[in-house]
Amino acid sequence: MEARIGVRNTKSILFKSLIVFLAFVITIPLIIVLLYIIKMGVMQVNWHFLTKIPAPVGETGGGVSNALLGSFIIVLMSSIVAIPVGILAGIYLSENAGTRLAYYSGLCVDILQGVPSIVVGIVIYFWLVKPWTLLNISFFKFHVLIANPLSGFSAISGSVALAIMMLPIIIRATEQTLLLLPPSLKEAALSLGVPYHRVILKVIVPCGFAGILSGIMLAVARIIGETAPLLFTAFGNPYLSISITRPMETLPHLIYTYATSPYNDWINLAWGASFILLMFVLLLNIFTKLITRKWNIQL
Amino acid sequence: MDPSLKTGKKSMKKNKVDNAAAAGLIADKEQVTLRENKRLDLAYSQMIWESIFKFILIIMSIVLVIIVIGVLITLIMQSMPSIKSLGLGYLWGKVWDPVNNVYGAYPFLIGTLLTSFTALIISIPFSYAISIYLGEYNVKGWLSNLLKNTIELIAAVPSVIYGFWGLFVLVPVVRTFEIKIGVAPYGVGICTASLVLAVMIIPYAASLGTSLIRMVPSPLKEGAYALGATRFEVIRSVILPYTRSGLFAGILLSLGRALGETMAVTLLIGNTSAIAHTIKEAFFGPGNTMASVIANEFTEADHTVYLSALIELGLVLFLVTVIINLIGKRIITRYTNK
Repeated sequence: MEARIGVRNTKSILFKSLIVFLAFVITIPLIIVLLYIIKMGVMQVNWHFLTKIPAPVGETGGGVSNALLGSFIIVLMSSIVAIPVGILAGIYLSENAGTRLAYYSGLCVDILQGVPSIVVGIVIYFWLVKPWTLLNISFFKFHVLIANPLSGFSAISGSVALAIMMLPIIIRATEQTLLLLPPSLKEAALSLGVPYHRVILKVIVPCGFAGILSGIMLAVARIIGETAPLLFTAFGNPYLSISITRPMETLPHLIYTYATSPYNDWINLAWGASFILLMFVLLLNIFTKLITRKWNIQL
Repeated sequence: MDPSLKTGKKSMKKNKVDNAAAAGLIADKEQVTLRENKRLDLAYSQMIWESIFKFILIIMSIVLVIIVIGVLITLIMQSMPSIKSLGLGYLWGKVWDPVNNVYGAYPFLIGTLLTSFTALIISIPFSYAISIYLGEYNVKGWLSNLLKNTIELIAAVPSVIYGFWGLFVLVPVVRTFEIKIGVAPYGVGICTASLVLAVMIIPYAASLGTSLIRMVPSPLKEGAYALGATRFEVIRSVILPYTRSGLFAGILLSLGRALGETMAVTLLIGNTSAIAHTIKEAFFGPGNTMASVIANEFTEADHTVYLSALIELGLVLFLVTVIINLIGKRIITRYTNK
């Protein structure tokens, strides 16, 4: 009997040590990746690197200013589209839980969350990049033409693709945060005669602001590293361009193209770009964690 | 908004002014009427805004449904040429040769399944271990928080960076390993891609598993302890059976991620559409997944059938990931409502 208990206890201890070992061993790849990127990238970053465009093959030096600016513009544009739509749809889902429309849009959020990013790229390619004509008829003096206004790789199409990837994260964050708020808050405001839209915009949303903000930040951190949707939409551009109807370079796309190039200078540029991208994403994530912990939000 | 209210209010306003004029009331009374009218106007405009706001909310959620239906319709319409000319046999045709107009998706289906399931099998012990550690052994405290946040950071690193790192660090390591065991030393290949993919998908199953294990009712665990069970026995015969379906859902979500992951896999898989002949070759040699072949060949596709064959791959990918995700989500909802 004694021996039996001993065996069981040993088994328990062995199991615990196995679990602890496996749980902590998985942080090693992350640490290795982080350290390696920092080691290779931190040497590249200097003033020159941040302000110059990539040098042509054969010349040394150059920088990634086009990709930095492009990433900033594209993420800004997709945020402008996705944040209002996401917050409003999140409000609808939390306010009207149980209606048929809420059920179907909730389902669509789940679907959007699982869509592979490359599929979003394909679809936006057909919506905004490929030239199409839906309607082209003339009668009397009128000429009706419904066609693709952009046709061609453009920063706008890249932003739309990224906005679609942002939506589910913002919607879920908004919905979860608003569901956590006590209903008495809304009831108190309504009983004072405050109109519905003011209750939502001036009472409910400010109360859940931290949760919504952290959802937005997570969404930005997620899309700024997305490459696959941009391959067929924003496409990439070796020159500095601020025209949003033209192809535009972004950091992840620059990393992808230069990482597979055979030139050492370009690979070094990609290391530097990876370093900047990684630091930005990690800081944004850590900052979000601090916010959610301060306001005690569960996402 | 009720239109009769509008006319009613207007006529009321008019009546009041008329009455005031007819009775020759003094100026301050007119002032009062005006003020009342202002309040009415304000209330009225608020009511209009209220309905506009509700309308906007409805529009926004309809937009979501339209986006998803639009995605599906676009994929189906654009893959129509290939569905028509290649038929269902496309999915298990073994040769992919765009130059001679021969298309078969079999190499990519096999590549996708092989990478995803290898990655899944590697990741399962780790995600279970993290879930059990954070959910049962170490629920609170700084170490638990630190580990939890670190695991979440793994998911935050962009996939192109994993691919880039793997290309320069992991590939040489795998190459020396391949020389040792005596297979062709490509370095890139399904094995390398699966290793990186395994690390990338761990956080999805782990964070879900952690929260589910934390939700196991403590009376169940206490009952088992009271009967003299050790910690291992409690975990094995109470916690794991109780959370089985939830942990399975977490694995499904991980699988959904693995199937659709593009950039890291594209950089590491070697991109060849030929089918390997031996199992060893298939596992260590280069291959291609559905996502990576789309990423590589989409902009090069120069004729209709070629392009739409690629889009059909996208359609298959979309449907498979959506179904896997929805099943996973359904299990989680059922589990958390129980």
